[in-house]
Amino acid sequence: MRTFTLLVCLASFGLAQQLDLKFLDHLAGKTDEVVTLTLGEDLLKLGAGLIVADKDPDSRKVKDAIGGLRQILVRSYKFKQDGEYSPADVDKIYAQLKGPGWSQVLEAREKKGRTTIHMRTSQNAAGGMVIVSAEPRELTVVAITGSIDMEKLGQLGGNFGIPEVKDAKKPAAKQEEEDLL
Amino acid sequence: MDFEQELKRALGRQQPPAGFAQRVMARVERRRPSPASYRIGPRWAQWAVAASLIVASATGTSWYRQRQERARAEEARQQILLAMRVTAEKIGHVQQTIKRISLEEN
Repeated sequence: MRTFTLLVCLASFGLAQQLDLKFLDHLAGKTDEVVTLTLGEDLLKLGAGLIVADKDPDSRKVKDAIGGLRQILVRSYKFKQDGEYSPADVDKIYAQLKGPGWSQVLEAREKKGRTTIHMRTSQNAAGGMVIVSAEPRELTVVAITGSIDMEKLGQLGGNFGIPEVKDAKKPAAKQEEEDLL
Repeated sequence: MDFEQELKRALGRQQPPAGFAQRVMARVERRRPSPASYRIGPRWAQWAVAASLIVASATGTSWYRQRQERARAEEARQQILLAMRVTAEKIGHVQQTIKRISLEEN
C-alpha cells in the first residue's frame, strides 16, 4: 500500500505563523479524512485546564508535553488512492524549512515514504522542531509553536494506543532488561 | 293595538331626571381605585420580587457563560489530545522506522 504522509512540527515562537500551509487547503476536497486544527495559546491554556483536572496518567503526560506550547497547527489528509497530492506540495513545505536556524535532525526514508524531523535552534536552546513524514496516501502537517520538551513529547509514545518504540527483533527478556535500565 | 301602544310608550324617549348625569359621574369617581390599590402586596414584597428577578437573571447569565466556557474548554481539550495523538503517532513512526532500518543494516 502506498502511503504518503507529511508531518511538520514547529516549536518556536512565531514559527507556526511563519509556516504557510494554506496551499494544502485544496486537498480537503479530495478526501473525507481531514484533520485541520489550529490551537492558539488561549485555547491551549483553556484545554490544558481540563487536561490538568484529568486523573488519567496519560493526560498528565499530555499536560507536561504541552506546557510550554503556544500554538499547535495540524493539517492531516488521508486519501483512498495514490497521487492525490503532488510532490510539489511537499516541496513547498520543505522550502519553508530551509531558512536560517533550521536543520534536519532526523530522516526515516522508506521505499515510498519519507519522514524527517527539522529543528530550529535559538540562543542555544531548541526553539523549534519540524517533523516531515510523507507517504503516498497520507499527508499530515503538524506545527507546534512554543518551547517543546522532546523528552516529554517522547513520553507520549505508548499513549493514545500508539505502541512504544521497542526493538521488535530483540528477545522479550532482553527488551525488558533494557527497559529496566 | 293596546300592546302596540304600550310598547311605544315603554320605548319612547324620556328625559332623565335632573342631576342624573352628575350623580352618575359622582358615583364613578367614588368607585375609581386609588393608585395604591394597584399594588400587589406590600412595597417590601415588590422590592423582594424585583431583587429576586435580578439575582435570578444574573445567576442564569453567569451559569450560561460558564457552560459555554466549559464547552469551549472541552472542545479545546479534545483538539489538543487529537493534535498530540497525531504528533506522537508520527514521532513514533520515525523512531520505529529508524530502529528497524538500523536493525536491518546490522
